[in-house]
Amino acid sequence: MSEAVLDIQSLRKTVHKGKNIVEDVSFKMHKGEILGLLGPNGAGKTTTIRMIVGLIKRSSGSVSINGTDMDEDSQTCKRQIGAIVENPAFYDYMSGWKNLQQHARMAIDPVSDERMQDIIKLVQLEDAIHDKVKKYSLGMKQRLGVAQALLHQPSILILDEPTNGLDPKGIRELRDYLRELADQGISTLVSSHLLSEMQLMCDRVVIMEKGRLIDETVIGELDQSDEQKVCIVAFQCRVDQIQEAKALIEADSEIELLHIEKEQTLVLKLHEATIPDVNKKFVEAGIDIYAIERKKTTLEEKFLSLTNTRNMTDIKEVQS
Amino acid sequence: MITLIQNEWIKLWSKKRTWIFALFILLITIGIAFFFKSVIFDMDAANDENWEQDLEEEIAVQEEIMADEDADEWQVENAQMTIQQNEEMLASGINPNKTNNMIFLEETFPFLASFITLFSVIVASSIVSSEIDDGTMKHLLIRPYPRWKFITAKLITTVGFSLSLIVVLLVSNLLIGTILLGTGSLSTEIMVNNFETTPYLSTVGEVLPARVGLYVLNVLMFIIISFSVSILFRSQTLAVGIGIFILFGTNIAQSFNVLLADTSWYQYIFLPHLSLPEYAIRDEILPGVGLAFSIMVLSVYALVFLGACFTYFQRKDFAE
Repeated sequence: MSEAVLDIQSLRKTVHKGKNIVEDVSFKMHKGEILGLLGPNGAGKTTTIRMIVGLIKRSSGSVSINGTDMDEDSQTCKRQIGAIVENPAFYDYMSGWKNLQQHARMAIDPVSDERMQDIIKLVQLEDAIHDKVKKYSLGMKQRLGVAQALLHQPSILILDEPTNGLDPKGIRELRDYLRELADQGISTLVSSHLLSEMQLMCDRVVIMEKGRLIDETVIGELDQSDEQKVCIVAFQCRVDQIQEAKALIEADSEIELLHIEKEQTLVLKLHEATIPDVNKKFVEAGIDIYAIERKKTTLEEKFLSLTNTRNMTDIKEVQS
Repeated sequence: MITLIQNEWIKLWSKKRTWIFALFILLITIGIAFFFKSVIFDMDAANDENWEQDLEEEIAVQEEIMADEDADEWQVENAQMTIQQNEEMLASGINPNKTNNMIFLEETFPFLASFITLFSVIVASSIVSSEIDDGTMKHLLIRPYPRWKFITAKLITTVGFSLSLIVVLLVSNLLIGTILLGTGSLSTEIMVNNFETTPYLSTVGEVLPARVGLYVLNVLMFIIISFSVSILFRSQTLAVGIGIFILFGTNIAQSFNVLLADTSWYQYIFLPHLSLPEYAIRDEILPGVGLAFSIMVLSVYALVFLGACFTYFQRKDFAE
């Protein structure tokens, strides 16, 4: 991997009463990468992102952009960031064009009218750019937000919950833009609580829960239909055989027992390729299997297995 | 910094509200001019050669009141004042019915300017808080400028707005005054009645520039207070409310002046000092309290307000 364009080290935010809403969050983002910050609502994603862009003061930890520390030279760092924090917000009494001009003027390196035109074309707002923003649909605002964030040619794009309020078409378009940008070498950090989207959008995700980073996953690996693919499968057997079946599974270190449903179904986390072997194992042991059911898919099951079953399983073991 | 002020200025004048404020000042000035011409200034009387006789008749009436033993104390005082005023006018040959654009400007400026104070309070209270409420503030703060520059630009813009309205007021007032009431000069003599000392003779040139200059300082103070309150209390409504309260409060304070003038603390409250334009026609607003002292007290308050609001804004976490 190339060097990190964004390097987050031990980020912590302590609010009043000494409670840490973000604790010990460290990750790196590489050039041209689309990195997802995934977690349920209230996991600290937004706080983390706002600490990176300087809207919220860090209690401790460091942020560096292309090797420059934010504390040492925040202006140099900030000019390399383009961001939409939560919803894109505009002066709705002005036209899209005038809104972009506002941001163009604030850019340290001058932004030419040509650049403005190019970016408007990229987000396909040519027809509406001179209309007042209050007439824009949410999707159009989102696109104008992307244009605004990219106007000063940042090397890092940060989007906080960008898919909020977007229709499926809008989401797909956004995904395509981000991919295009990634091909041009722009790195994107995007936060979301929607797994399926992150899976489609990102190269890699880091998962947060309760203010901490709990996992890091390369999406490509999840999508591979090779033997390494991890999935969650429910094996249904008879109530009177459940203890027997449980013992059998626990003897195998490759398979992890997540929990038991209704005293007759074992929910297991295992590699996809080993499903037939497990079934065979049950049959050979004389345990009757009534149903085998795949639970959830890829990132979603990973996410759930990480967050929902934390009390039952040790996170460290879950990491594959 | 210039860029930020330019941006703020464009945003301010892109709002309909701002234009309505300016238009209002223009229209009310014209309206007042017609009102004065038809109701207050008796244009027929102005050409009447018998004005001296009228004044003398009035003196005679007032003398009767003074001679009347049943007359109340206030009636006697009032009569005395009127007699003095009339005698003075007779002595210096001022026709009280005679009017021109200078007298009109001198007499209407305080009333018309109070609308500018009101509009300035509204703009000052909303220029920061509306951007926080609309979510556009966070998209400013992620740009490579220190935070204090953004609010400094906003404060300067608000002051610019007030000055513009003052210019609109002065220009429109002179124009309409000239058209309706004819040309006068700065040396036009006027009677100054400040309800404390005996009425005395002065000229427009002596009173008006001082009135306008002191008004600018006064409105600046209003801006600083509303601006700071809106930031410190994160509430546009509260700031407008407090601004308007102070606006009327200064009038109310004047009635407290007599009651509280003897207390040692009253002169350190900013409220009585917020009627700076009064100094155009009198030397002290409270016994022993002159212009220099008032400006000193207000400066201290201004520094405290601004210090608190800049410190707060610089450290604030934008979490919502």
